[in-house]
Amino acid sequence: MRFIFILFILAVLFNVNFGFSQCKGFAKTECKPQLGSFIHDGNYNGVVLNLGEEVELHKAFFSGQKYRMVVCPEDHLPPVHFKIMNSDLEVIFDNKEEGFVGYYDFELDKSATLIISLKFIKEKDKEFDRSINGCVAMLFGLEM
Amino acid sequence: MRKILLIFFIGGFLGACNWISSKKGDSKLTSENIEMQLMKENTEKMKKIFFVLPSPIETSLLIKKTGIHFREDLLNSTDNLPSYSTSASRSIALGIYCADLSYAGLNEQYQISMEYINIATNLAESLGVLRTVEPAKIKLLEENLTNKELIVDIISEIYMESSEQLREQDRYTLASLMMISGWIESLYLATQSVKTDEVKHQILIKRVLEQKLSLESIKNVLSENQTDAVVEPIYKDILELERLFTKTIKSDNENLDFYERYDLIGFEQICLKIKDIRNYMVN
Repeated sequence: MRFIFILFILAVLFNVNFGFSQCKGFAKTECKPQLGSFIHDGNYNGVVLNLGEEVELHKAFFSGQKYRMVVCPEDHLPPVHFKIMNSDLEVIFDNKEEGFVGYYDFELDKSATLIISLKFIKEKDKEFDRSINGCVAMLFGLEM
Repeated sequence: MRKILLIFFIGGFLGACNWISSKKGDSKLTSENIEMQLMKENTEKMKKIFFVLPSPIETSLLIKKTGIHFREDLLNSTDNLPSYSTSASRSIALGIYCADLSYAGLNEQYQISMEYINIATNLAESLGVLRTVEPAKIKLLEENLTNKELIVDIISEIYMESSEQLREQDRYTLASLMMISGWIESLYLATQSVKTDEVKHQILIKRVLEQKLSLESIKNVLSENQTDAVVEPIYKDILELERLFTKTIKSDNENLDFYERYDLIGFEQICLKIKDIRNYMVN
C-alpha cells in the first residue's frame, strides 16, 4: 500500500512540475533569443494550451519606451494568430495582416493598457484536435 | 535499496509517458476523460485571461530615461538581510533587492550590481528557488564586470526564475508579494528622487503617475489573497494609493498645462504613501 502511495506521489510530481518547467525552459531557449537586441523585461508569460483555447493578456505599456513582443508556440503546434487591442477593443495590430508573423515592435504615443489576444490558426473546414496541447510563450523586450 | 530504485524508475517512466502523450495527444476514453471533455466543450468559449504585473526592470528603465541621478543611499541596505526570517518577508525582500539591482544595473553601478546579484541569488535559494542564473553567466560577469547587457540579462533571469519557481511550487502568494514589492521599491526609488519644484522633474512625475495603469493588475493579483495576514494590509494600502493617484491626476488631456493636469499636493501624498508601504515591507 505504501509502495503504491509513493508511486502515486512521484507520478503527480513528475507530471505537474515537468509541464511547467518544460514550458519555461522552452521560453528561455527558443523564445528569448527572438528578442534580439531588446532586453527581456524579466516576466514569463507562458501557458500550456489545448488547440481551440484562447488566451488574453492585459498589460500596461508606457510612452517613451519601445517594446518588442514575441509569441512562440512549440513546433508541433499550429501558428498563432494574435491581435493587440486598446481598452476600447480597437485593433492596433493583427498579425494576420503580416502573414502570422511571430513578433511585433511598437512604441505608444500615450501610455495605455493593451489587450493581447491569441489563439491557434485553424485549417479551413477542419475542427481542432482538442487533445493536442503544447507550450505557447509570450515575452516582452525593452529597448535600452 | 532495490525497491527504492524501482520506485524512482517507475515514477520517471510514468512522467515520461505523460510528457510524450501530451505532445502527441494520446488519450484513452474513460468516464473521467469524457466528463473533462464535456467540461472543455462547455467552456470552449471562455478564454484564459492574465494580468501582467510590471517588472522592476521595466519600471527602472522608464525612470532612468527621465535622466535622474543614481542615489546609493536609497537602496535597501544589505545589513537588513538577516532580519528576513519568514518566507513572506524573504519574498518581499527578494522583490525589493531585484528592484534595487535593476536600478543599480541600469545605472552602470557595477560593484553594487555584483553585490546585489549575490544577495538576490542567495535569498532566492533560501526560498527554495534553485539555479536562478546559469553559473557560466556569473563567471562571465566576474571576468567582465562592466558588461551592462550581461548584468541586465542576469537580472531578468533572477527575476523570472524566482517568480516562476515560486508559482511552480504553488506558492502564488509569495510570488505575488515578490512582484509587488519590486514595483513598490521601483516607485520608491523614483519618488524619493523627485523635486516637485524643478521643471526638469516634470517628466519623472508624469512617469510615476502613469504607473496608475499598473494598479489594475496589482489589485487583481492581491485581491485573490486579500484575507492572507501579510497581504491584507498591503492590499488596503494599494487601494488607498489608487485613491491618491485618482485624486492627483486631474485630467488626461495632454493639451493642458502640466499644473492643470496634475495636483502636486496629491503627488506629494503619493510619495509619502509609497514610502510608508516600502518601509512596512523593508522592516
